[in-house]
Amino acid sequence: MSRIKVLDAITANSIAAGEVVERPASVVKELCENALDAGADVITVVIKNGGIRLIQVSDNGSGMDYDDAVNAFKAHATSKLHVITDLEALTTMGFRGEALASISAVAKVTLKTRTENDDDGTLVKIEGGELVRHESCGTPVGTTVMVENLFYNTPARYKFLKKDTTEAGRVADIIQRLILARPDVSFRLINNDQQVLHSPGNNDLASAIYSVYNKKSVGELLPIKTTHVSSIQVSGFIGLPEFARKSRQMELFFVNDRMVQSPMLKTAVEEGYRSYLVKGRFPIAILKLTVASNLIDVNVHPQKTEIRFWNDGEVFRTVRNAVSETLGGSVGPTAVGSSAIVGDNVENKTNQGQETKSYPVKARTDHFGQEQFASDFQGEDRLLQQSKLPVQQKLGKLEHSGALKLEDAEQSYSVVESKIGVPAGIEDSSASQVGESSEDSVKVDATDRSNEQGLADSAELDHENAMTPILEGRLAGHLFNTYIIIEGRDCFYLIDQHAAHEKINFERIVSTYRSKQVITQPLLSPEVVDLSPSEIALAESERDFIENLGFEFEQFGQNAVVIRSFPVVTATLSPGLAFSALLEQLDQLPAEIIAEREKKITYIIYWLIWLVKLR
Amino acid sequence: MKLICQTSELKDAIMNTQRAVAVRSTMQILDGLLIEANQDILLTGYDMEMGITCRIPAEIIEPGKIVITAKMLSDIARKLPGETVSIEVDDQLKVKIVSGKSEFQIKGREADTFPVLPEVAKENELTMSQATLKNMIRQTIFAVSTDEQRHNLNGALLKCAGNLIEMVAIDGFRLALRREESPVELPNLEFIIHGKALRELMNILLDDKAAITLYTTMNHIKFHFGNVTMVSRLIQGEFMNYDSLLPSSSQTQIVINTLKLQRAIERSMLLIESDNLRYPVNFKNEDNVLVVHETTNVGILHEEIEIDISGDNFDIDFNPSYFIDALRAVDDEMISINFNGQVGPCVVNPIEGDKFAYLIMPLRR
Ligand SMILES: Nc1ncnc2c1ncn2[C@@H]1O[C@H](COP(=O)(O)OP(=O)(O)OP(=O)(O)O)[C@@H](O)[C@H]1O
Ligand SMILES: [Mg+2]
Repeated sequence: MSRIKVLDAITANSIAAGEVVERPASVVKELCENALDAGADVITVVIKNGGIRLIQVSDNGSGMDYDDAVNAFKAHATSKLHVITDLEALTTMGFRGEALASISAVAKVTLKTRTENDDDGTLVKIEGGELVRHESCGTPVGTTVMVENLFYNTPARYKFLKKDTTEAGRVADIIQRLILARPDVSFRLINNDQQVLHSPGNNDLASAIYSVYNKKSVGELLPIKTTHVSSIQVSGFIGLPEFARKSRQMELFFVNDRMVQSPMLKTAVEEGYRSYLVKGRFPIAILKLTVASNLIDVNVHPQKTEIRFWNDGEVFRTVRNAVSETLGGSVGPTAVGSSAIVGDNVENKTNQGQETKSYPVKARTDHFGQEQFASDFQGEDRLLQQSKLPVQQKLGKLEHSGALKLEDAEQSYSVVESKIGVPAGIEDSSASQVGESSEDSVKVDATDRSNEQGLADSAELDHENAMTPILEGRLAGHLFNTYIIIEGRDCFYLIDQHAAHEKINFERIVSTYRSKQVITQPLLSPEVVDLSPSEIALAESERDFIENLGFEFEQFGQNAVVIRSFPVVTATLSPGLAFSALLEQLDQLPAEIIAEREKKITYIIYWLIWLVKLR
Repeated sequence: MKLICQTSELKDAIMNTQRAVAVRSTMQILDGLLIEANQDILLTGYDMEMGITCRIPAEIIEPGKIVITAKMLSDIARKLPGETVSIEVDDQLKVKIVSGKSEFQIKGREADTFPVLPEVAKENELTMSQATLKNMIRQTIFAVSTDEQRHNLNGALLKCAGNLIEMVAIDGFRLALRREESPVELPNLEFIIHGKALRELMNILLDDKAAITLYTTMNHIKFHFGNVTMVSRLIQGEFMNYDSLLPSSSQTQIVINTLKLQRAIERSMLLIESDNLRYPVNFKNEDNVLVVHETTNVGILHEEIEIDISGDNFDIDFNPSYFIDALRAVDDEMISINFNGQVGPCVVNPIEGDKFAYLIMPLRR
């Protein structure tokens, strides 16, 4: 009996249609998700030329019968969702009935499939959306989908594909995530006849993690232990504080076995690590949440990666508590004390009616739409004013004050900074323990808080410090051909390219790069830098540029490179940090800059100098 | 709580313990100093990584304890007019500090939430003179890595075995090693002490033969000397295997006057205007003369120093500040420098013995 139904029009339209197929990695993701939905527990992915020439995904799932095998390619044909109310109780990965249709429109797709009940299998071949073959064939139970010559009929999209190695890296990223999401499934990735990844599929998350990451670089992992009672279940592993990362890349979340992006969850985990980690370091956390499917909404983004919870506050608290409890139970005796006390503060906070705004990310976006972002150039005044607000009010609404100080462009080095501080909690003890903002220091005149109970106990927050642990800056663009904009964590920087004094140095550095006369500092012993496969691919494709900057590196396994030497200009930075930050910049550079080598050098060097200056 | 003590003793105790006070912490209480009055006064500063306590004699009229913001307390202690000071705390946690004709009233905080310093069992024990430890720290601390990505290098390794005790620091580009002989057989110990703890310790230690005793467990180290105790969490993890980094032979060996070379490099650095440019300093030899050469955008320095040389001629670039750090740490009048060509590591050694080794990676053009 056929199971695939064409969705009724209302349901079809209520599902956000999006670009499902952007690049090979997105095809792999869709095909693997279909395999998972079909109940497969062994999935093999083969790619050639980064998936551009070939992607083949084979599974041992339910398979399809003769009719379903073609119906599967019809737009909004799905077996997974019949009427609109089903959306609310979504438990499958796919639900739009759009993936195969979209893929087959832009590639040559061959599908071979057989169900357990059928003796004969079915072969369907579709090229550019046209059915060219539909016949019986012999094939094992399960499904194999072969996608060849992606974008062969859409040159515009073909053009946007990156180098093979880059695309292959992104495919590996996807499979890594799936391995972590589904330890019960054995995945294998073969790229150009070489096995890149293989997971055991023994339903043990720890072995899944170690099949993806090097044990040496993630260290011992702590299984989540929690006594907190909640409607949300949290399991998974977190890393020891000393193995913390320089980026959030290893904060991974899976909700009902689906990998999701959620700034809220990241904040919750980081809150749990509070007092274990210094600023600028991020924990390793591979967390699995089980939430009733009617309490989440995963359809906010066509890539199905963003998620909305109906009970944000509870999710936040559950995750944060699970993390801090796990750490409290496992990290040395001193840490136990600290986490206990941090926990207390946290309780205070919620008692003060803070529930709805327990994490700053939300508060930030909330505020952006409003009032004084650029209007308030006299930031200091504004801050003083704010610090006079009653505490309660500030707690309710973590405000931003936009303070844009435009220094004289003639001044020696005109990094113009605009701190968008988060001034809640700078004033009396209860406020500063709210914590969200205690790292984002803002200068406030001490006299202003003298009216508070005698001598306020607040720590001296100094402006300098807030600028230090940087490396988080991202090149965001340029203005009037004069300023380079760098976006920091809670602030942005305008760098005046033409500021006289610095320009001389800058020109000199740029010219040494042009003439390839850079001086490099070899390291005493090579340093291992953990990267994702896509970052490694990027490093390889930008190798010339990166080496020209003075980095010498080699690939080191699937998830790391070793650095042997690095540019002497950045000698005060951590070689590992500088390297991965550089990759991040290269990845995010605006297209118009990438295209022009000269511009690329200019931008990257400005950014590098800026990093060094801010140390 | 009520007590009377010597102002100067209180001031010193505050200065010492304040070094361990958290500058910024999510735990508010940690920006304070804990004062406990029983038979005498015990002051404690603790930032959860490192804690320092200092005990001073006092006349205790009423025992008790209180936490006072460290910065406030030290500012006050420094400016007190009288030779003695009395501190009194009432039920409302109001602290009255009286010295001479001056009387402060400030707010104190409940001492109960102040975290307890970890116990460090006397499992392993090591005693040496304060001056020796102070020197060993001073002569290696500059090479402790501040790169948080390499947490195992954010401290110095202290290693003892037989009758040798070594302190080693590595920052990725250079290595500093100090070695001392002990008259007695030492236990086999190896642990990594946080750079910050060492730096603070170096500042409190005296330059004399008074003893300091170290106790270590798996997770912590405790230093006990005079009336001061410092406890610090040890860095967990493995230190770099440094033996393999030190070359066993060299292509060129020179003997040179330490101060002359140090001054020459200091002069060369006058020509480096901007710190982020990192111009190299060049060393090469012309027969028995070392030529120190620096060319930057501002100018050129050429300087000659007489040397004894054996082995190949050389022409190598270095980061001048790395060399300076090593030379400044050396107390010997003459040193031997072992070069290994333009890419191999260069090592600064004493002309006799193996009290120290400073390894520096050359720059590559
Ligand atoms: N590997 C497979 N094994 C069994 N059935 C499959 C497989 N791949 C696809 N199908 C069937 O084809 C249908 C269409 O798949 P398609 O991926 O286009 O849509 P979907 O998974 O339902 O939703 P989405 O577009 O969100 O992925 C599925 O509903 C499923 O019934
Ligand atoms: Mg699907």
